[in-house]
Amino acid sequence: MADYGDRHLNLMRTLEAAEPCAPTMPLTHCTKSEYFFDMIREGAISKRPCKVFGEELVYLFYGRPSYRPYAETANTSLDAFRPVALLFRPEAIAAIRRIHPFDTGAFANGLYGHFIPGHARMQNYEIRPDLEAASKSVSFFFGSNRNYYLGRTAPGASAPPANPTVSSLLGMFQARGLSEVDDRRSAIEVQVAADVKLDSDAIMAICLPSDYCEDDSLLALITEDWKADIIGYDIYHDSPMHDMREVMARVKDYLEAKALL
Amino acid sequence: MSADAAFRLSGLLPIREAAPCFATPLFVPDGSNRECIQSIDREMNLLGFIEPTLPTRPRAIRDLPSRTVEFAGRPYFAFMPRAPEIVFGPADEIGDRLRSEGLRLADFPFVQRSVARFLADDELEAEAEANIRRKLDRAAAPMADAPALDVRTVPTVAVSMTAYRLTQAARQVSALELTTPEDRDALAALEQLTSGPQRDAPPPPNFAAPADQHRQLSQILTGAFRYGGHAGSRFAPPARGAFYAAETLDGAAADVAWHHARMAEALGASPALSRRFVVSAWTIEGELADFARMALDPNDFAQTQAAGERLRRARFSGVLFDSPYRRSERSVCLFDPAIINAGRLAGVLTLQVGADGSYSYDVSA
Repeated sequence: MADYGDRHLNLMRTLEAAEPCAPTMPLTHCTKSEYFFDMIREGAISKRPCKVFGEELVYLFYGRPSYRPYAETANTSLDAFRPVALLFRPEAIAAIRRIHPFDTGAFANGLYGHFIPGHARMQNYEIRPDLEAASKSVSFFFGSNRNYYLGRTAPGASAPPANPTVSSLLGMFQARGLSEVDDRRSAIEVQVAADVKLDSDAIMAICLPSDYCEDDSLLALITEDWKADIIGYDIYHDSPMHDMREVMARVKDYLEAKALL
Repeated sequence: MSADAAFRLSGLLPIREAAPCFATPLFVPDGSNRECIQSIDREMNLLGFIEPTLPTRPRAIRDLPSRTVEFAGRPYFAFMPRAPEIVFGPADEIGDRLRSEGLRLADFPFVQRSVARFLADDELEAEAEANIRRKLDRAAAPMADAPALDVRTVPTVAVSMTAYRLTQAARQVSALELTTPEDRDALAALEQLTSGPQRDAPPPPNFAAPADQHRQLSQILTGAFRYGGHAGSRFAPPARGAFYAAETLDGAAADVAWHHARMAEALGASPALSRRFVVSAWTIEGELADFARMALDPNDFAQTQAAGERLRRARFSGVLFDSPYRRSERSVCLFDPAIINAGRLAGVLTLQVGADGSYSYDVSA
């Protein structure tokens, strides 16, 4: 019976049969610029206590610069002033603790209630903590990195019979129209149990307001010390949601240019 | 909150620490104290207003002329040029002024590109892209041979102190006094000739000061951060500005006397000197890299310039260090003006340096 239940409830059991979706995408971390400058000072994204999992973690997303300022904040947050997205080389991120196919903060706050029953266990949605498994989730649900980035499920995606875990996920990913939750409902969350160092080994690119590059020190830090690419976006005014959309659009252009989408 | 109401401009939230840059206007509707920003879509349509939690850095600028705004469906934009007058208004009303400012932004190519894209000016954008390429080429140069410094291991110290800076008592031309674009262009050309490339914008003077002293203190502060000089200074490489001050007047006088003697020696001139300096006192509160008790070579700046540049890139506000010229005194080198809370003028110091390099000073009100 245990095996029967596992087969019908455990997401990873379904994903194992999928082919990984190549190439492996970078990992991302979005923050507001105030925090970005703190990270520079600390030389790392430091672990922070997580109420949901009761341990210190760094939260990243696979391939998509989704914004996750606070676990308990809904998507109506207007705190995303001048967002900065850091893109990390996937091979440089170790100590991956857990991977889920969505933002677990929103799950814990019940924001997926229209799609996932309240009694569902988060463990059933856990993906094996390696990036090949994450790419299998992309392959299974979205069919391509590009579709995943755009939040579009693969045309032929379907859930195995009598598998409420996969069918509820697919229903949530396919839902259109206004929703309580933003794109984080289908952004693959990667939890890391160690500080993520900011250095040339790890950082691939930084998406930030272009004007920040007038700071010679910051420009030299990014281009010389980190040897990272700059993905600039323009700000003429602060409209936080608009700025996040700019980040999404610019990072998409960058990933396409790097043949990652 | 209806856009039909009359609003008062209550502040500007600059995009970055220093002009030139766009800024987000902050508004308060008549009869309310709720501060808001405009919600504007990608097509620059005014959708409404939102009341966000404002970022703490950069700080909003509140010292603005009173201005009432009636939107009539059009969003308002603000641009802070290097000149004191802000550009503010609906997009169709600020285009000409903004284009004129954009043409002068070769030293700020990323901002220039933002202006070009705002105006949908392809020619200006192409010029900005070329300027960006030049800036990127230049960015790698200063630190190419610098030894690595792991900034995470640098000790820090919280300071709450007054520090004194001596500025030669001479007439200074202020950008604030230059009222025409031709004047400003001439000053910009002069800066290029006298101080090499100006790679950082001057900081916004944002500190408490007696009203009748604020302007002079702003000049002292801005000048320190703007002008780097061809050889650089102890913690700043060539052409990079920094603010130096000493914890006591004894320390400040010792530093100035030593630098004067060094310059006289380089010129083959006598070090004998009698010169007057404006004394400014600055309240500094925050965290600095702690280089105190570290023996610094009085004559060799190479290591400290490289270390200073690393610290600046890691967003340290500055360095606390023992004066190499008078070890019992502590000095500060600041990279970030935000750590300065207040300033005041503290008299005039007359420095006497003898032919043997010995010095004395006295201070008058």
